[in-house]
Amino acid sequence: MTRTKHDDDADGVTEVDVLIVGAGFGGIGMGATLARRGRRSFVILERAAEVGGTWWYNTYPGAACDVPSHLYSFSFRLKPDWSRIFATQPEILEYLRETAREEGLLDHISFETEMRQAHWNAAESVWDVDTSAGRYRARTLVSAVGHLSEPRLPSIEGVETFEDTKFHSARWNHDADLEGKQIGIIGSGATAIQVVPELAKVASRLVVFQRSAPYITPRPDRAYTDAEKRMFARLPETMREEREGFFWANEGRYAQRRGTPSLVKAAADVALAHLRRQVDDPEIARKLTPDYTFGCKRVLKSDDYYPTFNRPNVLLETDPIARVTPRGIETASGTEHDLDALVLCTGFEATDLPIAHQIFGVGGVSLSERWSGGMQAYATMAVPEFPNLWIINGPNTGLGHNSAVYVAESQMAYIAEALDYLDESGLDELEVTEAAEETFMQMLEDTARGTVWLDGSCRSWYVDQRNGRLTTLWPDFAHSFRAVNGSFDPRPYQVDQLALP
Amino acid sequence: MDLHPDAVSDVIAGPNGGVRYHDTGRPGDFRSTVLLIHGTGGTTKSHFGTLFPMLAARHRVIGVDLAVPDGGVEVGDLVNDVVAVLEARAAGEPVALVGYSLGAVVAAAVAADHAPLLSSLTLVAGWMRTDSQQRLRNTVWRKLFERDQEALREYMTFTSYGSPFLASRTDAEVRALVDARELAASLPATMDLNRRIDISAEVGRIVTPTLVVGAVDDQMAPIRHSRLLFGAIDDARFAEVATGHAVTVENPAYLFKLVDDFVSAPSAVPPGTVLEPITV
Repeated sequence: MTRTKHDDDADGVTEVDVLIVGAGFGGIGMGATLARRGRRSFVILERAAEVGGTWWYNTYPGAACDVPSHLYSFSFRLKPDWSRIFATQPEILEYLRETAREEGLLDHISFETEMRQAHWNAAESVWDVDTSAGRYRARTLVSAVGHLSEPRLPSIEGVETFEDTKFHSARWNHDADLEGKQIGIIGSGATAIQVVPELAKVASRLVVFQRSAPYITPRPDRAYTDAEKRMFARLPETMREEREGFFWANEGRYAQRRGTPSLVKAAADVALAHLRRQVDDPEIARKLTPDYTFGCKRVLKSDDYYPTFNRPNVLLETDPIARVTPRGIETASGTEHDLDALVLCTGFEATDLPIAHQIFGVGGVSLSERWSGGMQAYATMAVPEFPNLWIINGPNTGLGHNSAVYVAESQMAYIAEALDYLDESGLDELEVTEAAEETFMQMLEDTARGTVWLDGSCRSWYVDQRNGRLTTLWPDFAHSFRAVNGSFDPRPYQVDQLALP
Repeated sequence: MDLHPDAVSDVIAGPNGGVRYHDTGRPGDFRSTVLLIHGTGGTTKSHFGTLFPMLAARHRVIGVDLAVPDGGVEVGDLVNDVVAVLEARAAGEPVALVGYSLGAVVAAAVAADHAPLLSSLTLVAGWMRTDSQQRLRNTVWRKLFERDQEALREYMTFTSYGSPFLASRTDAEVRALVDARELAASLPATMDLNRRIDISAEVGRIVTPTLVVGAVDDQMAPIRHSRLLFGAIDDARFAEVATGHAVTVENPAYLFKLVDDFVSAPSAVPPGTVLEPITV
């Protein structure tokens, strides 16, 4: 296993042990994990010109993480000098750049390289992968494209006819001059609540088109002092305490999702009191009041979203959009909003992952066909008929309450152990059994019962509308994710029993 | 019942009067049973409002509300109440007994003489014999109770929570903790009992697999007491939590993980083991 990516054979095919798709948190973390374990033969494909993934694409004004930065970072690369509790996008992107550089990953990344198709080659037990920068042959394929990478565009009549500036929040047009313009924002989710306060400062008029009001809780952000940052550097255990304090406080909030009425109500009351305290006009406050159970959709954090609606230049439009016209938006009741710019904060393709259409397993079946009834994977990573493929941040990995990096790191540890097992057992491939996947999904379904996500009070991207199953979310504590999925066990795989230790 | 959608609350006759309990058990639920005993001045709801539903997702959970008559109470009375609930609700089926603070004292005393009723024992922020540091606090408590109950609520808030927990809150949030504190009618009698605790002899008889959980910043039952319990009980393991005495409020999720892992396989970790901190 000492082949490197320079082992091009005569056909111009690059042979590599592990091929990773995506250089965001998942791909960079996977690469660093492999490098730290002494593995040299891996390549990371990245379609952008830089690392960062979500944090490279989402450059909209106000972009920040709503998990505290000391927690939203790799456990093996804590950063004593995070500037704030909740760092903004440029600082998070810089953290990933620094990680890629200092973990020695830059030589392993093929930038501006799009994966076109990956086919399982059963005869040789390898993945044949076609990319925009040549062909690869890899023993193991790791998808690390995440589930929030492909912008979802709204299916609204006439949206393509709008003649002025229009873009999705994850493809922000920084050349567009929005100063003094009439701007429309479609959406009121995690992105919109960060964008709205920023655009309200520059727009002559800002219209926020809201379909469903989110619950928003206070966001206790502040800058760290120089004394704190040096304390974290000099006494790393204080930095760990900071991180662990955030983690366990989030875990404590998980009980609010278990459908215990007193806890759900207490949590909802915090959000509703936040709303009443921050919005002057009772009619606007009423429109900003959610109509579903707390936690059913993603709970958001902001201290500056609600007050934006006290500004005279901001309008909250809750009348449904009938159509987009060349000059603006017309609502169902006939109101016409003239707009100079339209910003789509309409989220991402979370339940039908685009990469699933590009990966073909045993017998040439695509992952999207296999998942036509909704995505699922054993241990959230392995799929029958797709040997030697592991998926980071795929099905059932989203958390409604804690850090995605913690989840991804658990998966990286699992995958690294699986690779070690492949080497030590002498096996060519690891394919999980159908029975193991089914048992795993049944366990998840039992766990999800009684949670707010399935109580039917809302329609969210957590639930796949095709099967009513919770396919994006992990319906339990974050620590249980690591306990269940954080270490490799060969028994659920189709391996010769004699190969077992 | 707002503890948990499945919890049914009722009162059974105990040797000293009625004992209230809350039970998620239903016909056909064959999951293992965890029985929770709260601490001084609390109830199942006020001390286990978050831990109860966390446990109830994986176990049948029973909470006992200790009854403390005005005329005073002894550990033996509280033991009898717990045994009455065990016999009425979980006869013939050993349960995982979890006691917190004074509830840990009661749980240890139950285990000493009723081992067949238990599958495991978890003692959270408990103690064995009241020492002079605790008696001094108890004395201050008594004087404030008699002279200035507003100052008493502040004092109890100050001693209940760990200093890092309080320091990380705003003044308004700390004020809310003070204002939310209710002085239960049972408090004077319970505080009188707390002065006199000595179950050293009983603890030596415990044979049930035990987990002792000590809170690092505890000012009410300081962690030296948990370390001593770990030393006193033959079949014991030890874990620390980075909180004050109010561990069930400050970090219920961490406590849940400790309890859930332990009660699911009490003997998986050998006696004498100090559990590694859970890192993230």
